[in-house]
Amino acid sequence: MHSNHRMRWISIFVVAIASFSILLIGSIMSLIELFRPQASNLQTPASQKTASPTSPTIGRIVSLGDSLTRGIGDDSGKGYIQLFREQLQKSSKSEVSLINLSVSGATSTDLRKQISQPETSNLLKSAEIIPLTIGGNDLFRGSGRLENTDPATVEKARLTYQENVDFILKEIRKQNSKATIFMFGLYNPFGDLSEAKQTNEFVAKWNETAQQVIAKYDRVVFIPTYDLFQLDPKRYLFTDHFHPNQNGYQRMANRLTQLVIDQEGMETK
Amino acid sequence: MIGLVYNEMLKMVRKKRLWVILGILVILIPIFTYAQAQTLERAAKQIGTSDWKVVLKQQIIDQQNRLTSSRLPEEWKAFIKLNIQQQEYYLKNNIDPTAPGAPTFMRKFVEESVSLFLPLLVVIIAADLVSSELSSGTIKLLLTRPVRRWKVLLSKYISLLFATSFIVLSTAILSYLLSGVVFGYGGWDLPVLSGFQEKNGALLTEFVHLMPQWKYLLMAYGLSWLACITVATVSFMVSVLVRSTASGMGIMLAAIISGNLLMQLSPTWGAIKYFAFTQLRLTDYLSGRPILIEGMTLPLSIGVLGAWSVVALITAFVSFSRRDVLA
Repeated sequence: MHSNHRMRWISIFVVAIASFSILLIGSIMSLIELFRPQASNLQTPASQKTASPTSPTIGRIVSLGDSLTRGIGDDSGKGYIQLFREQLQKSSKSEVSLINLSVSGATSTDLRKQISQPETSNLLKSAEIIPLTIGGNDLFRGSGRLENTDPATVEKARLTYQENVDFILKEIRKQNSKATIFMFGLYNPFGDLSEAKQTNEFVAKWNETAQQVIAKYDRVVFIPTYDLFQLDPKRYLFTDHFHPNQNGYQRMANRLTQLVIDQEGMETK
Repeated sequence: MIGLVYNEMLKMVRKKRLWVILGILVILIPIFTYAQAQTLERAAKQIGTSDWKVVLKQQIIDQQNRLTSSRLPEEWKAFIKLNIQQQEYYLKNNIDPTAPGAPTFMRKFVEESVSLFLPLLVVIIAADLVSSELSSGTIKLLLTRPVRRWKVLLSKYISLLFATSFIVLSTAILSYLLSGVVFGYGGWDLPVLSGFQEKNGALLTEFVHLMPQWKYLLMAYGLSWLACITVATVSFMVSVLVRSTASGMGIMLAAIISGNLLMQLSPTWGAIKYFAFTQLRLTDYLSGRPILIEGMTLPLSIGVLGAWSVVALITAFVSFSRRDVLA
């Protein structure tokens, strides 16, 4: 009875004092650490031997671009890229994976910067299909009217756009010579407004520019969108009168699916 | 004195509250583990790869997109920007911040539970430590002994500190043992980055350095222990001042939860910094997770927590020694 009591006495105190002192040491260590930060020891980045295995997937999509690829304006949040993935998944037996690198609001200059980052190029290497939307923000800023109706300024922006698209495609090709790149053309969200004549002219010119640049590269496909939104913009545009709505995105996705299923021969048998 | 402390601890063990807390942990940790495993699996499925670099890159892009939303409040934007910078830093240095394993789960778990879950567990034992003896009348027996009143109270406080330590350490051990079933038990010496500092909305990385995960865990649990001790001390005061168990617990729950709510609701209101329960997230200083409330620094957090503890302790002792318990 007496030794039993003693055992209990000892065990309770051992547990109590042990947990107290372990945590006390931990908290003192962290306070020292936080109040007197050590200099960075990252000159020799730790070699992490366990390179995580990239699971092989067929039909890997890596998408780039602006808010259109992000799906802004689609109530379901999918955008053409998710709709496309779903359609492709239906006709493919293996998992279709999607990495969406688009950034809403990006201009061709932004994309040019993004594409030069090492992490982006790593992802591009594994891509099989690269859909791309770019240029809308260069020509139309945000969801306002034309940024500059002054033809000279627009012309200057067009030249930058031309150069950027060329750089972007060259860079993608450098990283990945096999993937098919699908570049969507621009449409005119203001086709039903009074200045439609001038905006139509701009959009046509810019699309022509894109097509000319694309012509220099292999396995790059230009997908027109101009026609999709021309007749009845209200029906296919979101309430911001700039981005497509779900119907608009569906039409874009249909175009892309049609091309991919043809090109990649992924039809259901 | 040691005899008194032992007596108090024995009471605690006999009251079975500690076992209830262990029971809560044993039930909840597997649920958290399962939830975490599900999240990881779903993310991997959506992107189509389990390659952490791809996942991290996608997270960065997603956050960049959130930044473009015009309805996002400024302080959230600053938070997200810092988060992006930190994740890019991880990516650049080839370090996976979420490499699976039980120690990683322990780390995530303490970082998430330090402001709410752990304090609530502490409150379970602390909130009626003194009041239960008042209401059951056993305090009279205790005080008729030839010991001074402050010694009785001190022995209770010391045993509370031990119990708090026991709870924090049990949380660590149980989350290791239970989550390891799913995530595996390895990963103690995985490199973890620490030492991120923020200055005017930019992330300073000059002090960022690697440490093995076990050391990081020791420090993170040490910090959460400090937060828990403050909670325990304030609850201790409440248990002296308030006679009923239910209202004592109610007060503490309300205080802790409102601390968490205030952090989310009004991060721009500077005065909430001086409320102890908004300062519980000490582990954020270690992980470099951006802090939402403007002007929060480690010395301030420690100072606020320390000041609250000291005031609570003094109030408890003064009130207890003056009280007419025999009434």
